[in-house]
Amino acid sequence: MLEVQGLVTNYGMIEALKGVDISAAEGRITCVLGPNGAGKTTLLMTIAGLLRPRRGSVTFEGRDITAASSAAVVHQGLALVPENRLVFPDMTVRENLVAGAYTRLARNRGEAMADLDRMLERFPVLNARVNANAGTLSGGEQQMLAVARALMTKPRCLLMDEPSLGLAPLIVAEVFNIIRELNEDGVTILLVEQNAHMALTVAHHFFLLDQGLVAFDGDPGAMAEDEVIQRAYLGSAGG
Amino acid sequence: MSDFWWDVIDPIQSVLDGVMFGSIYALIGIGFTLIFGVMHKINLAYAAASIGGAYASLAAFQLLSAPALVVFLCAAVASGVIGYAVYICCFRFIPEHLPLATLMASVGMLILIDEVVVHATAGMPEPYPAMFDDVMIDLEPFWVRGDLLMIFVLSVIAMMILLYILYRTRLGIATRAVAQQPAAAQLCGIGQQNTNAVTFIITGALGGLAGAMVGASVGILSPLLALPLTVKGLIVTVIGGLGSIPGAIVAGLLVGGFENVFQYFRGVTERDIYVMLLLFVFLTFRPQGLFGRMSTRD
Ligand SMILES: Nc1ncnc2c1ncn2[C@@H]1O[C@H](COP(=O)(O)OP(=O)(O)OP(=O)(O)O)[C@@H](O)[C@H]1O
Ligand SMILES: [Mg+2]
Repeated sequence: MLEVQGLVTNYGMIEALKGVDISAAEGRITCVLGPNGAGKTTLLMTIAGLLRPRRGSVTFEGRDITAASSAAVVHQGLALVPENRLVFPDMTVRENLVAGAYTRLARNRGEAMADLDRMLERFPVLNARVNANAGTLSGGEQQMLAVARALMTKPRCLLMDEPSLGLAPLIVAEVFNIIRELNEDGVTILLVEQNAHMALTVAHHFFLLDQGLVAFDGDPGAMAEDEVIQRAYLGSAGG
Repeated sequence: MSDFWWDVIDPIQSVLDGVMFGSIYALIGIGFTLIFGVMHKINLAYAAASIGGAYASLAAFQLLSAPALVVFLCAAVASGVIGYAVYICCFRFIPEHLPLATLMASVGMLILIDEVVVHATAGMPEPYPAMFDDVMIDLEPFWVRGDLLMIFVLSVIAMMILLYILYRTRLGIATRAVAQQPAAAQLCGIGQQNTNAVTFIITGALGGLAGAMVGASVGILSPLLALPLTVKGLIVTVIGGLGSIPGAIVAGLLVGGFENVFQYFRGVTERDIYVMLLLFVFLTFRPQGLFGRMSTRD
């Protein structure tokens, strides 16, 4: 469904991605692991059209979206839940969700508003704070809001950048439950995680990114057996 | 009435007049602050563009003898167009990480607009239409000048339209989203450049109205208005708190009343000294402004 080939992205002189090949199969949860600074965020931002790659290509459902603007990528049905959530702090929860439906408001306002109500039903924590400014929400609530906001674009594929970052274990479990449910509803998911144990509970396929290159590519079974990953990500608990 | 009353009536009257005139400063302050809020950049050409728009509307006045209200609307439209041109020339293509380049470009634009106006009018002031300038409302013991009241009412209507756009429309959602979290706004499919351009057009129109109001209140337009209006607008923006629209409104009225009461006591040549002092008081004791926050970005 999503194919990334030979992707090279620079920040000035620094090459953050040095030719990355990954793919996310339709209806699956694909997880990208990697240490800090590996280029995971850069990868997702490049796919989402926030960064321009030097070389390589991004294909979504057979269409080339390498040079597409972020608005065009959203329009194609690909949404990113960014690292650190990035909610609009001085807008209410409702307004954040309306912003997520921005591209659909002009075409079909009624449908977008009906989706908003459904989204609030699905995320009761958001419903409880619907008129509060997003900046006043807790970290976990903000993460839910960031997910819900991305879902308001009606994506067929959701990119998620470290959704468990800085959250308490109980909330992390809730976030992963939502990921699983979304996937069961048919949304393809490309998940970036540092929490390999949690990722193992949901993902169907793994990539390991290290210093801008793919260092491992395999299913959960192969990953749990890989020695390097064992030591670096799963610690003693994994083996 | 007692002697004391007679002593304070005139100062109070001048505060009243000043506050009404201050609604113009509030409009200019909103323009500076909104562009800063959305782009985190200062557009120093803003007040000059506002005066430029008012000058452009003179065409409707002199050639078509259009009624005052139509002339004001022409000023708003013309300034909206100039605002877009300023955006294209000074902001659109200059990379984000070079804020000084945009600042200098907007200074250049300020001078350019000023020079164009001076050359087009040979530097002579031009008469500008007003509304209700022959009306005086008697509110014993005070007077309300009809033209100032009209300026105040038009400014308030313009502010309400702006607030409606910002808080009740799709465009407003986009504008606030880009201002608060540009990357996330893009992820919602909101075009950052389009939003920036629209912000320049809307604030431009607001400024054009302010420029027209300046002309209407003094009865003439002069190229000499651009620089003081720039300075007042920036002062209002700082006192109100960079990026805060309520701040700009309150600070505009405050500066208007403050300057007029000092004009009453100390004369027109000295009054700006006291406005500067007010600015320094704020910079020293409340540098974030009335409604500003200590941290500016993220
Ligand atoms: N805006 C930037 N300017 C310059 N270099 C950057 C920028 N953002 C990231 N980098 C560099 O690019 C490399 C990849 O960064 P990236 O944020 O993609 O890593 P990451 O895998 O997401 O890390 P983390 O797990 O900490 O989120 C790093 O070496 C980083 O220092
Ligand atoms: Mg990252």
